[in-house]
Amino acid sequence: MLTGTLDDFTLADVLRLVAGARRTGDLAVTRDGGAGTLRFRDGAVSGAVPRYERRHPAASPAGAVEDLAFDLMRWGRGEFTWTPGASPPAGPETAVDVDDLLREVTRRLDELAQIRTLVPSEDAVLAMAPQPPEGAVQINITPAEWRVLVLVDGHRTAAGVAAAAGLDDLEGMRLLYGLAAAGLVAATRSADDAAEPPPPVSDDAPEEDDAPEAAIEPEAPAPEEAAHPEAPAPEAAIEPEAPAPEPAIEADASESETPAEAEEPDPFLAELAAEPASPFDTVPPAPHEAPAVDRSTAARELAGLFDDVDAPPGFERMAVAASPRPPAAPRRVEDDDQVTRGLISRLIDGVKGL
Amino acid sequence: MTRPLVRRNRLARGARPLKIVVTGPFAAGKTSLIQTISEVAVVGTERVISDETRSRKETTTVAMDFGRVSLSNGLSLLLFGTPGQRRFEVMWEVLSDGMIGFVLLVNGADERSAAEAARQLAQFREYADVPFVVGVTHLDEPGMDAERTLASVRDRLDVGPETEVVPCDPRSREDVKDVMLRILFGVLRRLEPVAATP
Repeated sequence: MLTGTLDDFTLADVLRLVAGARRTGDLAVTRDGGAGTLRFRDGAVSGAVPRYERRHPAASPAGAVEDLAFDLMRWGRGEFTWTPGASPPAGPETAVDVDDLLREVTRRLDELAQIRTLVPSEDAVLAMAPQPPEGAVQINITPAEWRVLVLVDGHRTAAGVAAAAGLDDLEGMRLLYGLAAAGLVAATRSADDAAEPPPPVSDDAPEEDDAPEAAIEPEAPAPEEAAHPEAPAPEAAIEPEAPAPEPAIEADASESETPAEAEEPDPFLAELAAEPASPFDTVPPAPHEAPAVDRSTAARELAGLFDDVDAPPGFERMAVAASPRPPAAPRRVEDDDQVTRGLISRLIDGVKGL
Repeated sequence: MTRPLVRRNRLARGARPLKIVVTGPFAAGKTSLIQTISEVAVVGTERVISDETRSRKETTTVAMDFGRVSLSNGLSLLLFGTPGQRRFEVMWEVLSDGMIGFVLLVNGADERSAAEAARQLAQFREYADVPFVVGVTHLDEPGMDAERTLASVRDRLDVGPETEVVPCDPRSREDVKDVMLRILFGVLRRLEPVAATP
C-alpha cells in the first residue's frame, strides 16, 4: 500500500503511471470535493466506487468511471492510496483505457472552464437580468431551462439551483451557462460574498485559469458583450490539451503479481514514491502567445458568426459534439436567408479582384 | 446541451458575415492557406506538439485559425481553419456553424492524409449541406505525379465527378483565390441551379 498527496504531481500522472505499468489494484483518492476509488485491472480502469452517490448515477460502468474521474480531477489538493492486487468486483466491470479516460475528463474540464466564464463556481449566486437581451423580439427556452430559470432568485447558488431542479451540479451549471450566455441571467456574487475564492481547479488541468472574477461583473453584460469571450480568448476553452500519453514503465510492465511479491518492496510503488521526476512531469503548458491582431475586434467578428445566439465560440457545440446527436438533416446553404444570389455574386466579383 | 434561443430584430444585429471553413488533416496546409489570403494577421492558436506527430510538424492548431478577406466592394469573407488533430475535433462543429462552404485540404504527399480527410469529409457533410472543394497540397514535392495523386485522393475520398478535386498550393494567392471562387460558384449554383460556372 502506498499513500501520497497530490501536491507534487497530479492525479493524471498517477493514472498514467498505473496504466503504463499495467498494474492491478485500487487507487483510492480523497480530494476537497470528492472521494472514491478507481479500480485497475492490468492498467485499465475496471470500475469506480464513489464514496458519495451521484444524484444521477451513470448508466454504464464506463460512465461511472468517467464520472468519478471527473469528480476527482476537478478539485485541487488531495490524497491517494494505492493498494495493489485485485479486489472483489463491486459490480459489473469495464476496461476503460486511461488515455481515453483522461481525454474525456479533459473535455469535461474544458467545458467546465467555459461554464465558469459566466457561472464562476457552484457557489455563484445568479439573478435574472432586469432587462431582456438587447434587440430581443422572441425568447425560446426549453422546459429544462424553464425549470432552472424559475429557481434563479438572486439568493440561490448555482449548486442550489441545480439541486432544487434535481440536476447534477454540472448539468445545472450547463443550463445556467446557457441562460447567462443568452443574457437572461447573470452571476452577481458568490454565496459567501466572494470571501472565499472558487474551489481551486485541479493541477490536472493546469491551463484552466479562466479568470472567473472577470465573469462576475456586477452588471449583467449585454448579449453581444456576453458573446465576446473577454476573459477567455477563443482558444481558452480548448487550451487544456489532452494529456500526452506517458511512456510505459518498462521495468515493471512484465512483472507478475503474486502474494509473495506483494510482500516485497514493489518497484512500482518505489517508483511512485520516488521524487517525481520524469514520469510525473506533465507537459508544461505552452506559453501564451500574444495575438497578432486586436483580439477583441476578432472576438466581435467571431460572435457575429453565431447569428442570433450568443454563445462564445467553442462552448455549446463542444457539448453537442460529445452527446448523441439527434438525427437531423444537415443545414443547406440555400436555406440560409442571408445567403442571396446578389451577395454571392458580389463576393465572387470581390474575390476575383483580389 | 440546450440553451435559449434569442431572436433579435435583424436591424438591431446587422447582417452576419459569411464564412468559409478550411479543414483537413494534420499538416495539410490549412494555416498556410489562411495566412496567404487574409489581410489581417491570422489569429492562430498554435501550440507546440508534444506527441508522436511532432516528427511531422513542430506546432499544430488547437482551436482555430481566423482570417479575414476584405473585398474592394466593401464585403468581407471570414476564413476559419480547423484544428487538424483528431483530439481537437470538438472544435469542428463549432467552426462549421453558419459556413457557406468549406475547403478540404489533403496532403498529397502523405497517404495517411487522404484516409483522415475521408473521415473529416463525412463529418462535415453531417454538419451542413454546403459546397466544398478538395484542395490537394504538397504536389510540388520531388517525385510527385500530380495527376495520379489527384486521382488517388479522389478515390480515397470516394467522391463523385461533381466534386472538384484540384491542386492547391496554400502558399499561392492565386491557388487560394481559385478554391474560394470554386466554393462561391458552388453556392451560386445552389441558389440558381441552371447558371454559374467559374
